[in-house]
Amino acid sequence: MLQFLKLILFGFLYIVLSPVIVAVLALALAYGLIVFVLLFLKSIVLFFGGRTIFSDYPEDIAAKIILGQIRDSGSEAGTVK
Amino acid sequence: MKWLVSLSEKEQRMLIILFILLVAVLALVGLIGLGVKKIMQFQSRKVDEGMSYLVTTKVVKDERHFRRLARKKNYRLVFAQYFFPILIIGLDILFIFLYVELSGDQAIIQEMFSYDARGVGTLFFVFDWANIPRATFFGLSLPSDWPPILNTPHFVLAAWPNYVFVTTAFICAIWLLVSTQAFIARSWRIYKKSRTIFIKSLDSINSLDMINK
Repeated sequence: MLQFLKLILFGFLYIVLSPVIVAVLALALAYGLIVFVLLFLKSIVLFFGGRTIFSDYPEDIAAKIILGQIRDSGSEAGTVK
Repeated sequence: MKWLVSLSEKEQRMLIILFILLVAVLALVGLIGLGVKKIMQFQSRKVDEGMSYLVTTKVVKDERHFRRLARKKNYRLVFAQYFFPILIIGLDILFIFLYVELSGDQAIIQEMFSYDARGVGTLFFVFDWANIPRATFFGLSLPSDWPPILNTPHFVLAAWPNYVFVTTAFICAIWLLVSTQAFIARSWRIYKKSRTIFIKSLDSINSLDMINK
């Protein structure tokens, strides 16, 4: 019963907040479209440079090297045993 | 409570129906809201996939760095998720444009949503909401019955360009909205996690323990 009352309360809250929710969604959509256009232009420029926007960031490369080292040291420890 | 007793049986029945309807609508909206919340929690997991190993390997060490990198990755995901719906919408517009150019039939654009010509309205029930029957209840004029039907669903072969165009545009619009919802979910998780991951708390430190060691 308490759960059902909570559900009704949430329903009321969502109805009251629906204009705000729609506004946030519209703003995020507009922002997302701007991001899309900018990244699309960037991807065209990178494409002619032989690169892609989906390549790893320096941080990703560094993290992968560290993970590789951990994995290697782990397997070495395994062979010693 | 006296006024409740003075109501006629018909009015009491109407009041109960209105109350049940209100509760049902609120419960349904609440359920939909909970469903959306669960979907957003699922969508926000992409942040964990892209950022967790950067934090555990300590490549990312502070809040600002985390937020900057996570935002960049979020934008990439937005680009990837928006790409196909926007591409399909573009092709959809090209299709209707080419159809009008080749057939010279401009009227099909004006009839796009009509129910009595070659619009998508032909596929749906269309009600005459302007002439809905009304009854007076507590001095308020409220709808008391379904409105007259203007159209019952029927297929019009000549309307196929509008069927294709509107259906595709509708699917892509939903696709874009779901992607936007995922964008909001990820942005919110990035903000929330950036505030808690690198927190320096004194709560878990006991200096006496450190001295005893």
